[in-house]
Amino acid sequence: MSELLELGERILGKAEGSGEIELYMVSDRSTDVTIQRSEINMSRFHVKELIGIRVLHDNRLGFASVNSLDESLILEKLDEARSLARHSLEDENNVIPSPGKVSHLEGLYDPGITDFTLDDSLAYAQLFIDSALETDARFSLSDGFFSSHDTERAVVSTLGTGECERSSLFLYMGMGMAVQGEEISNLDARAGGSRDIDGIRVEEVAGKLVESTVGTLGAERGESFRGPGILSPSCLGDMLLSGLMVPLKGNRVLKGMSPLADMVGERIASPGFTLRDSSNMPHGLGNRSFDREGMPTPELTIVDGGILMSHLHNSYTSHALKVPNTGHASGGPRSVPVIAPSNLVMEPGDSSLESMVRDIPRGILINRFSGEIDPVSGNFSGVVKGGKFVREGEIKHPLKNMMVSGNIFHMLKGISGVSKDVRRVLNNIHMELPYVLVDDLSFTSG
Amino acid sequence: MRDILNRLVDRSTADHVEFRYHRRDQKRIEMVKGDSEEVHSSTYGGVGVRVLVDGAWGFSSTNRTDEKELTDTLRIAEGAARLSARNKKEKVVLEDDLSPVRGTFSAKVNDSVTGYSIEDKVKLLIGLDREMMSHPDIVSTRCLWNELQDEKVIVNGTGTDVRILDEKVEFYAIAYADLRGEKVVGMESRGVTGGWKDLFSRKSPGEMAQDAVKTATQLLKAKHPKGGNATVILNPELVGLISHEAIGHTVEADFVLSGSVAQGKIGQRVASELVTMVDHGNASPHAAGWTPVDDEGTPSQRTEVIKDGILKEYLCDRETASLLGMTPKGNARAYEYSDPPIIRMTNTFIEPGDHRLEELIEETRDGYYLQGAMGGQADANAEFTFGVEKAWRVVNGELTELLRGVSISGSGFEVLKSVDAVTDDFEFQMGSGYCGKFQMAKVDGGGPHLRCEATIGGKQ
Repeated sequence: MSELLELGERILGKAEGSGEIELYMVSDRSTDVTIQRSEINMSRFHVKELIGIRVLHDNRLGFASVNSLDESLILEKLDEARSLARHSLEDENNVIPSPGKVSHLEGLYDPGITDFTLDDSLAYAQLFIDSALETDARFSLSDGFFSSHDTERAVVSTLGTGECERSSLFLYMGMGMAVQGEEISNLDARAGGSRDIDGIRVEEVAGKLVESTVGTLGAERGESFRGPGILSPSCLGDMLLSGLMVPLKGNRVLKGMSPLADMVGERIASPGFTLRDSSNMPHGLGNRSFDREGMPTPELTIVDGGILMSHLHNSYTSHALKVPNTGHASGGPRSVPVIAPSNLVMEPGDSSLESMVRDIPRGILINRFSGEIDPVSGNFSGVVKGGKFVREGEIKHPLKNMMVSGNIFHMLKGISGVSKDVRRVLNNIHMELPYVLVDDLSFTSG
Repeated sequence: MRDILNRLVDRSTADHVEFRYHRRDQKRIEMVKGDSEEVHSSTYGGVGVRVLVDGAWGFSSTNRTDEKELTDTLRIAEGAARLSARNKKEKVVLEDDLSPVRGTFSAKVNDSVTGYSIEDKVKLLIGLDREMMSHPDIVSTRCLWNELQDEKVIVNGTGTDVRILDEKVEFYAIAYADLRGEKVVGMESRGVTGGWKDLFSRKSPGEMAQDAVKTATQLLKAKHPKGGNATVILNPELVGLISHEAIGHTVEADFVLSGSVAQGKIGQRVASELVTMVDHGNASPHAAGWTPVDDEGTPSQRTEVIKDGILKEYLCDRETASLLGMTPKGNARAYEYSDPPIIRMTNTFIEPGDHRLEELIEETRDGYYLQGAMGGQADANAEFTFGVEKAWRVVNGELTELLRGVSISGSGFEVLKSVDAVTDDFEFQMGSGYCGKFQMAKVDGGGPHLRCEATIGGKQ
């Protein structure tokens, strides 16, 4: 039995009083090398220990957390969680779930991480820098990092849950801009990661970052119009996470804050839009055997051919809405479980980016979206980053000072093309997404 | 604790060493449409150690505070720095024209929130939630209480030995109304350094809840703007947001050295002569970014980033101040003990002018009066986009129709160059938010109202 599970069982054994208790524990050893101004900035080593304690008493919930696995401190915090529970509102939907049937995934842990040192992280960080600078001298890497994490997490409860998982994770990110004379490109960032050492690809991520920023040099002002846009996988990822995934969360549905509340079984997107949540995506960084509550995380088809198939739930929302728990309790030990996807996968289509561009008389290829999306109305408005103006089927020039607005729910119904090529995007959530062509966006040139 | 840290500073073989003990106790209560989503208490504390060895940084942290553990953590940080040094071409040199700081700095707290029980706070939120939900147009609500009690001890190799006791608190009242299936939102929020009386010094919680409802119901009748370049009057919250997002980040010395648009512009005109923009961690005892001494041990001082339209100073830490020949003024900040300090803003604002708001509106023939921010983002080239809560069309000096779904964008410096009037009022209005540059930071921002040119995002 792992040390975390043993600790959890000991705490539950010592806990006095009535009510249910759930402990979520994380122990993480990490190395981290930060990059600043195209140079190594700092090397770091951390050990983190965290525990989140949920107490349910007479349908009242209390929560406390502490960054220590010291038994006496945990028992103190347990008492505090109990006290908080007494003051919270009674809610019959507050539940700590009974154990589910968890199948433990392979491939989450590379034993090689035990020999992976700060020196190794330093070498990868330097490789990121060298790869970026060798790609194009106009590029300036303002910030970045390479980190390794050897993490163990466990959840135990008085209802019999007892799950534990060890995982390895290597993450890397760069942020920078291209500078040419007086001109400065948009700032852009690219991140990548791997569960195993062999999968680390810092050169690839660095190269894409440079390509993206340098490609926006020479930007010109455009014109205001309504018309089609091609969303890159990165732009699509931003919009799906902020615009679509929020109203799909069970808590939004429950509180009447989701325009998709009564839409299961209804068309919400064009037939070319199929979206899955997968906790076992090949090389997925969000892969996990169980969720924040220790529940299994089966694959979930969210939208199938444009038809909404399911919302995302944890034990609270599934209980309240009387629907199956989809295993999407997420978050760390410092807060109560929230709802979030594991990894998102959109099915590819049969178009190519080139054919999408060819079919557009006047439109914009949007690399990144910087702005606000109201998840309740679906309205969005923001700046096109790394945008390129398309005229008569050809990419003409990069754009500056171009705003885009629309409504994400109308946009999903207006998808008229999906590329067969997909890209991996890491933006908190790991996603595999194609390019999509949407019919009707509002562009305002500044 | 301070004795142990001072002993370890003396024992360190590093060229420079900083110890920072930081314990944070947080209480958070969230009520959503009649249910308590969260009644939460967390403790996060430990010691972060940053060292400089042979011109390179190393950092390590621990949640334990005994001398043996802290000694081990120091050795790990020193080892990490030595590794970094092998790859470091441009060696770090610290600005060393600093006097050691000693003593205890306590936030000015009127009626500490620790004097109110969790039960009091839960009852307050339940009452407000019910009051907002009782309005026939309101379909959902959210009330949030968040308080941070911080104790920090900073001991470093320059002889600095300070203790900081801080209390920061935030409150949100949010009401949602339904417009033919589309939700519109009214939000009132405030965040301060201080206690209960400081948090509710402008409006009581009940008034904030009523105003959130009023905004949501007003917006039910509002239309979308068409969009395009326009004359806009920005309220203090939006002035603070532009100062922070569009200008402030580009003058953070780490971004400057990486090639931000502000690089090489010291002494140049970057804004209208009516604009003086300042960052100051001690500008007001109740501003949410109150930072009397930063995490490198530098006391907060007023930084005049822009003086009468001329770019004067960047925001520096000790490393970048040495590189740029500037003075560090208290902008090296770490969010928690396990974070190393990086360059952050504190309270960022534009100084008031001499116009009255009424005059400004009366003098505007065709434009928009914009109130309230709904999030914002900016770029290294100062290009920004912000959501706006409420926008009134201004026609021939009068506020006419109310608009919703408005966003503004532009280049921060170009927008500031277009400023033609600055009012004589002033408020910090950004205290309920956080800045998220690699790690979180509590910041504030504000100013007077100002009139300028920007692009309004709308429907074509």
